[in-house]
Amino acid sequence: MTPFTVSSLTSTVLRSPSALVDHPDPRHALATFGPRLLAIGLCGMALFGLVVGSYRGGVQNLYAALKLPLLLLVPVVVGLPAVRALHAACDVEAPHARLALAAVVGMARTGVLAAACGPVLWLLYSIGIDYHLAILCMAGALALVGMPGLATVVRSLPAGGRHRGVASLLSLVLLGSIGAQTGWLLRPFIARPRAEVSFIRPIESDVFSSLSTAFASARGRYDGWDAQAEGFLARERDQEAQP
Amino acid sequence: MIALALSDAPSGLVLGLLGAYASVGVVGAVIATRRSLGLATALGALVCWPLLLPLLGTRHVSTGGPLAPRIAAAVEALCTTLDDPAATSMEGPEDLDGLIAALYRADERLAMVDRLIASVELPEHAPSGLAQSLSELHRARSTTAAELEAVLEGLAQLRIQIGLRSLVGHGVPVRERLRDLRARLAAVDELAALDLRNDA
Amino acid sequence: MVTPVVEPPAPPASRVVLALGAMLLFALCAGLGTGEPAVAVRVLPIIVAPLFGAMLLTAPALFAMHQFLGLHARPETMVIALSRALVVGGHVAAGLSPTALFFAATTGLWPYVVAFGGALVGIAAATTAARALHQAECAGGQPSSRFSLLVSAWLVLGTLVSLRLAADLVITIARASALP
Repeated sequence: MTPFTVSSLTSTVLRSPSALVDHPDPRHALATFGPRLLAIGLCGMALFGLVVGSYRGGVQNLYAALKLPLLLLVPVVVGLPAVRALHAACDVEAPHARLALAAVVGMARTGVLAAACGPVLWLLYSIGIDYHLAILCMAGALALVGMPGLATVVRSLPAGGRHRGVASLLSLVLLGSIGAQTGWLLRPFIARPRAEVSFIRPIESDVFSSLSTAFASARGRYDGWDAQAEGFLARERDQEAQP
Repeated sequence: MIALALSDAPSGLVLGLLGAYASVGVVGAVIATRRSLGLATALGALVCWPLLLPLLGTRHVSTGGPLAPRIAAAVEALCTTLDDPAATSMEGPEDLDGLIAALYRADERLAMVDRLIASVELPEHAPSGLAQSLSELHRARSTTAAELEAVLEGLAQLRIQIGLRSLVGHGVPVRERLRDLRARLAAVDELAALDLRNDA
Repeated sequence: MVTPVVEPPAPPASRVVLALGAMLLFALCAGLGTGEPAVAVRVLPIIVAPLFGAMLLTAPALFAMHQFLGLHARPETMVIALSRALVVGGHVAAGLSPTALFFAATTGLWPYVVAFGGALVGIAAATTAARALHQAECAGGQPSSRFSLLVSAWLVLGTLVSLRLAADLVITIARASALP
């Protein structure tokens, strides 16, 4: 049965996403279901954001609800052309419409599952867990709900090709890097209990240097961390700010 | 990033890139509206047009009639043949877009009729007029579907004629073949109407 | 009955030009991360020059040795094979451009982006060239071990030449970055 209502579409996304992805006319499916799937995914992430923001409460609820859908959208929009190109180089020619359809279905799947994880996360936050543990729980939940969405995209790719495993691995690395950097840019999602609440912090370095500094610190090496703003987004603002 | 742009004075480069993204989004929304893809698709194109590019980049998006997948496959195969480097020495057939649009419109009408037939429930002792009208609708539907099937077969033959023309030369009437298909599709409505009048 | 090997069609010249344009676009997107127009302009040819330059410089040697060894493929099909490699490289560069722009906008990692992207483009082009040359050889007859050796040697030579060209460009960029 062709799903037309939001509830039947949500059910199809969770139970059998391949029914949508394997539609004989992907362009028609994208035209018919694409906007609703996008809305389902982004609303699901917004609900998850409300829960995440509830750790601090107040206006942080709204900030996190606005930012978490971007955390889902930006890596897909930025990384999908690279995924397609890398697989095409390995003779895995995925039609653009089919890949885009799989991406929106995957996003909807991730969004709905994230919303489903909301109550569990809220329960943990309500008992007053430590700030760092709260962040780890959020990251763990996102990783958990992101897997089914990613699997939807990978399964949409046609069979065959040469060294497709390499292309898939590179795609995973790319999407993960973009996702991590997007999360770094949009932080904080969970505001520290005594910190000032802000929508977004100024751009400081990048997620990779932050992670490497954190690893070094965990091994007892405290060399400090250069939080200098990088990238043309931050650099030009700094130049304008200087006298 | 939008917050950063709002909180501090953004540079010219950032403004330019954001403006370019928004401009493409606006163009995409306009295209989606003109192609009757719906308000939701147009709004989606504003924000995430990279994901909806397959809809904006194609001139024909089927609306899910019973023959839509076959029409899409036949059109794609024909366009692939026309795009073949060996076929570049020939001009593309005129009014191919019109033929494809007419095919999808006819398919939409079939889909509407199918929905109508499925929704009509004939009671046990139905008046003869209602049963007769429904029977006429079934007949017209079958006639239209048969004509569409014939046009799809004609598209396949058109591909073969294009190949033949690339070998033999301009003696093969590709354009005339296309005109015949257009005329056949235009006659679909007239044929169905004629059947109804004859049975009345 | 032996099924004849069908040679794939030659990509139109416009697609080759678009591929080169895509490589320039990738470099432009990454080069925006330098923050200096003079440096960004010097970054523009960082993908095109090594790849296309290496192909131009080493292709005559490939064709000459191919004929000298009495191998089967027609020179025209070998040119088509190399042009397909450029098209695939351009496709990868185009796909990576949004990612390059994202990291250029938000990080200072543009040299790593250029290096990573350039490596991916080069590997994609090289593997496509090897496969397409093999197809061209199969179309002319049974490929021999001499053909495999020739293609491997050409790939190594092409890689070394492209790295050398890239190194020259990097030195130019570094000097431009050091200017006050």
